[in-house]
Amino acid sequence: MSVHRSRSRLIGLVGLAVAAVLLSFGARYRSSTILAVSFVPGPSGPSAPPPCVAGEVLVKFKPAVSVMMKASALAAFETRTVARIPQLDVYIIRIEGAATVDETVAAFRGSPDVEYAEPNVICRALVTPNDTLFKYQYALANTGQIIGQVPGSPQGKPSADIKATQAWEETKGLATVVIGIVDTGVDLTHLDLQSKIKASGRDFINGDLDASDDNGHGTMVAGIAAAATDNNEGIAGVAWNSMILPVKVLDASGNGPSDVVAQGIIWAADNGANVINLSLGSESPSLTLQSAVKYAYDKGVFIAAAAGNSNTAVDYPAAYHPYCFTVAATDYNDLRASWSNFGPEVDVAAPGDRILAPYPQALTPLGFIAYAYGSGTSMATPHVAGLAALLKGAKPWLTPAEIQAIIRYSSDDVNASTYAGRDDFLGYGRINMENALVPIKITK
Amino acid sequence: MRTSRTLTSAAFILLAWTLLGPADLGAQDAQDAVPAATGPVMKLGLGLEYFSRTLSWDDGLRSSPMTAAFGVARLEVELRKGFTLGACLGYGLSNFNGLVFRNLPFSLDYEAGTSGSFLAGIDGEADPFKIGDFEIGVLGRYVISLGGTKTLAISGLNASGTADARALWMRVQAGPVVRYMGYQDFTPYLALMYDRLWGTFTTTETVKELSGTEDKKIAGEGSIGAAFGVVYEPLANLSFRGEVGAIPYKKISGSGLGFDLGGSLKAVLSF
Repeated sequence: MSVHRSRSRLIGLVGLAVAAVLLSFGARYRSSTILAVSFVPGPSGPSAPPPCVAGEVLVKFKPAVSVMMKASALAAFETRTVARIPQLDVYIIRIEGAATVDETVAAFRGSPDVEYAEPNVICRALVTPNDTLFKYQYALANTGQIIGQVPGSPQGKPSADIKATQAWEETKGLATVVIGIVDTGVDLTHLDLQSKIKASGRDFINGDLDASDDNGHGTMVAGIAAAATDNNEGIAGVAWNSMILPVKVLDASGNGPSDVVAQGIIWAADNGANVINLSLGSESPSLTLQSAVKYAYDKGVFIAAAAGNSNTAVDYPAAYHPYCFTVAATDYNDLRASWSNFGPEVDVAAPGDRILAPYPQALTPLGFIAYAYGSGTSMATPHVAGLAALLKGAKPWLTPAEIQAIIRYSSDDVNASTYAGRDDFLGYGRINMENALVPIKITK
Repeated sequence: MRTSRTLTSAAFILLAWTLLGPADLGAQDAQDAVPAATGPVMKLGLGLEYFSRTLSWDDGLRSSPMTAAFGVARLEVELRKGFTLGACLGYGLSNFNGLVFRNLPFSLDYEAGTSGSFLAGIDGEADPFKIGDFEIGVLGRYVISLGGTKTLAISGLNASGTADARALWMRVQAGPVVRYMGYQDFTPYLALMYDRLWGTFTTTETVKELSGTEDKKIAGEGSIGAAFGVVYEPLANLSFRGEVGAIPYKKISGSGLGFDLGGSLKAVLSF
């Protein structure tokens, strides 16, 4: 499949002729011209109990209990002491017999000599959101998980991610910061998005004030940037608290004339967008489009734009520097996506391969939940838009140029072994939210 | 802030009144008033001082510890018995680890350890009242520390950057002191001090075309402390003074009281 191109029309950049397009549970990949998605099934069964160290329990005896009595109790329950936390007088107990952790805990709790007994629960890193599909979002926190649920799905490389969880310790963004999604619209009623929609937006295709999505692309982009997070539903967005302003400039097939896109950019800038995401482009330049991005930039709006997906020169409007901040794509191994466009305009890269995102409910086939995997610089760009929104929230005085510089210089030069320093493929590197947001320790 | 200024003003007024006014009053009102000396006595001294102080910043929302250690040279003039004015100059190290600067393009967490600074100060001490073996007086002290600029590399970015850090702080101490004069060579004393520390830590960041400066207002937690000290005079013209002090403060986290500690040693030679 190839991305359709037209010299007179702009198209969404999602959907690639790459093998990474996933199929799951027999869903057929829709080989349409634009969208390449597959669906993941909903989470199965009730939530599991918190994980704990296998075969270990923590026991604190009452103060009056002698050492001999403790040893006697440990032997009686077929356990032995692995270690002791002296400050707490807590024993770390290894189960030697066949009893389970729960059974052993219950047995200790039944002893009059024991103050308390409990499983050795494994703590997780703070600010890990409870979104049910977060574990699939390698882009935000790559633990080496399997990317997808289809047999044969690839495995990510640990830490090949944008360090989102670390950055969320510092900030989760502000609701006063608005990300304009200038795209195919947004599913305004999606469970993972509805609370994040600032307004029903503007539909420049149908000429109304309802920027609902009839394609899916814009919904995915919006979700990656700012899906409702820590809401026990779906995915986590990069900008937890930032709001989404939907602007529909691409039609149901993902195409839109440059004048319409230009109007959408201007409208977003005039209606409160602090950040604009442009996951769209064309290989043909457009002065109208250039003027539109300049208009927004001059109004203080940061614009993240997709480089394009045809392994050629950077598309427009992404190539309009300095107004647009150009985003290339990496994959779950921090490698450049083979289809990602390149050139001197590329500023940074972000994960864009097999990215899980919300998908319009109305377009979701029966039996699937309204989420989909997508690939493309379209999927990479909203990661950057989300980061820009977090920066704007934390430091409202920053200009678009300063936000650009911060994101550039904080990126990880993941292809340094081949191209040290800035290069035309990944720019300054894959973005690193932690570097951009968390205070940097300065030492001697 | 207004309360702090009021307290500072009150402390200075009390100090000035005690230093300038009550000497004669004491002579008139108290039978055991200290007799005036025949002439001024010059004293030179050397001292070492250390203190820790919990700083609050970002409008009191955050805190971090500060430690400082100084060596000072002192000049004291005892205008009359029990009435001394002094000045000091010194150099030392201050440590502001834990200050975080979020109003820069890249937020910075200062963990660069100690930095050198010059210190200058004036102080005064008067013991206008005597009751039995006890002398009751006041002492006051003002010091200013001017830190040098410390240039530090910002690492972890894919562009080179530096941070220039500089601290300026001031400290005022004033309060009553009670001395026990019943020993031959030792004079123990106890002081209750209004103790205020405040200042500015300035950091300028430069990362290629990005630059920014943040002036962080810092203030010591707590404003009332106590000090216990001993003056030892082995010779008529030589004395040593040791002092330890503590300032309680309420922790920002709300979990009870913390204590900042300090201490000093001085050796003074009279002429």
